[in-house]
Amino acid sequence: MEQADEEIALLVQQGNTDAFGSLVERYTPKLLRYARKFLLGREDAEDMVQEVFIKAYTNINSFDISRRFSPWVYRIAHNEFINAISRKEREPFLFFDPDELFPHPIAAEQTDRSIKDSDLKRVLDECLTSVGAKYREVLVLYYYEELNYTDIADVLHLPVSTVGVRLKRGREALRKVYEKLNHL
Amino acid sequence: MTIPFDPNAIKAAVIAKIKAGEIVMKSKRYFLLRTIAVAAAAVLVTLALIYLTSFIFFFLHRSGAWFTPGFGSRGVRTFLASFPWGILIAVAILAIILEVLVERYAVAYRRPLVYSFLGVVVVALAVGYAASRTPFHTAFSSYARSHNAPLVGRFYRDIGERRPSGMEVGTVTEMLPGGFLMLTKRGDEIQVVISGETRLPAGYELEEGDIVVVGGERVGSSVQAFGVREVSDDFELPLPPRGRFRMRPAGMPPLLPSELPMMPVPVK
Repeated sequence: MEQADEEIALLVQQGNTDAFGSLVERYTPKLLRYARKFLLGREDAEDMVQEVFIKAYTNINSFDISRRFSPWVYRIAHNEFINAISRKEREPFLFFDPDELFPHPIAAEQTDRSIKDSDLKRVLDECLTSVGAKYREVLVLYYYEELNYTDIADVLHLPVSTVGVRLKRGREALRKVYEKLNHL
Repeated sequence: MTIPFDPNAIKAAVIAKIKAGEIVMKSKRYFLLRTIAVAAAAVLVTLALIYLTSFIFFFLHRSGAWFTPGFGSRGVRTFLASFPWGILIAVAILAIILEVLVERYAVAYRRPLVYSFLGVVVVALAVGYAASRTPFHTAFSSYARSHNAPLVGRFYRDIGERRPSGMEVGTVTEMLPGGFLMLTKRGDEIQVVISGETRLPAGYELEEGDIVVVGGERVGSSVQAFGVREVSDDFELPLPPRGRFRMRPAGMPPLLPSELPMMPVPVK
């Protein structure tokens, strides 16, 4: 039976360097996909992901093994990618969202993603480049990385209700882009 | 020709750097010390926030501004003009710093910012008010001034003893028809004129020796009062010998401006 990420992380904390290689193997394809979809080729995805793993190793002793490893490493990746975008676009407050200030009532998270999402992924592939970074990221984490609202909230350090709001607005932005592209 | 990406290249590069010692794991002690430092900073900021909030309440009581909203719209304007807005801005900045310090923890970021900010405000107001009702500021003020403490003493002297405009606090020294003489806490003797427009508590009976807050602009050494309130229970001031003279019997309306006699100006 495959070892859980958290068990491997504990081995790394205890000094087992080779165990870290297992975590790198597991998360390289996921983080590369996240990087390519989110950064849209503006940065070298492989270099960025390598940097994420370096930061993860350096800070592995800050990881609490009673929590899940996946949101922790995605959080490191989020910080790296955001810094890269902010440096390039010279916008330090790129992701300040007034929706973080106030509570929002949101619909319950959808449990059945299968039918709608296959269509949606086709739309995503076509239109993601035209959606702003703030909504693009949450769309990538939800539809490509298949994280739930709580995990996304932990990655982005947002209230769960704000994740729902961003997802909803991201879908609306996608729909507008799709309609515009299909009318051309 | 495009070189296909090798999925193991990243793993090989990272493990090679670890084994070459180019990447080093930070120790658990480092993160423990960092957590302690953040916690200590949060505690200090919280204490500073509570101290400044309690000082605002102390200042409002000490200056008499606390009582002026009861004088109507003019009293509210006096209150707002006397409010230590600079200290309130400092409190707001400290609250923001506290939010930034705790933002990394799920208990803070999982909830909308307005909830945690309101929580900070409510706690600061409650604890600050409670602290202001203790002898802490009075004792600290006396100590700071008697020991000539360079920063804190000046803070209490400059801010704590500032005379806000539009009101006076002092002790009634002599009753006069249509008003009274008052010795302010700064040692000035002024004449307070009461008219039909002056707001007074129902059944008001003023006596020599009472400590009062008077709302009104001082012109020379007299004040046309728009409000007077007795605050002997809230203040400690040097008291002149108490007399038994009553201004007007309870239940009688105050004098109209046309009924006011000419007031002799006290000569020092």
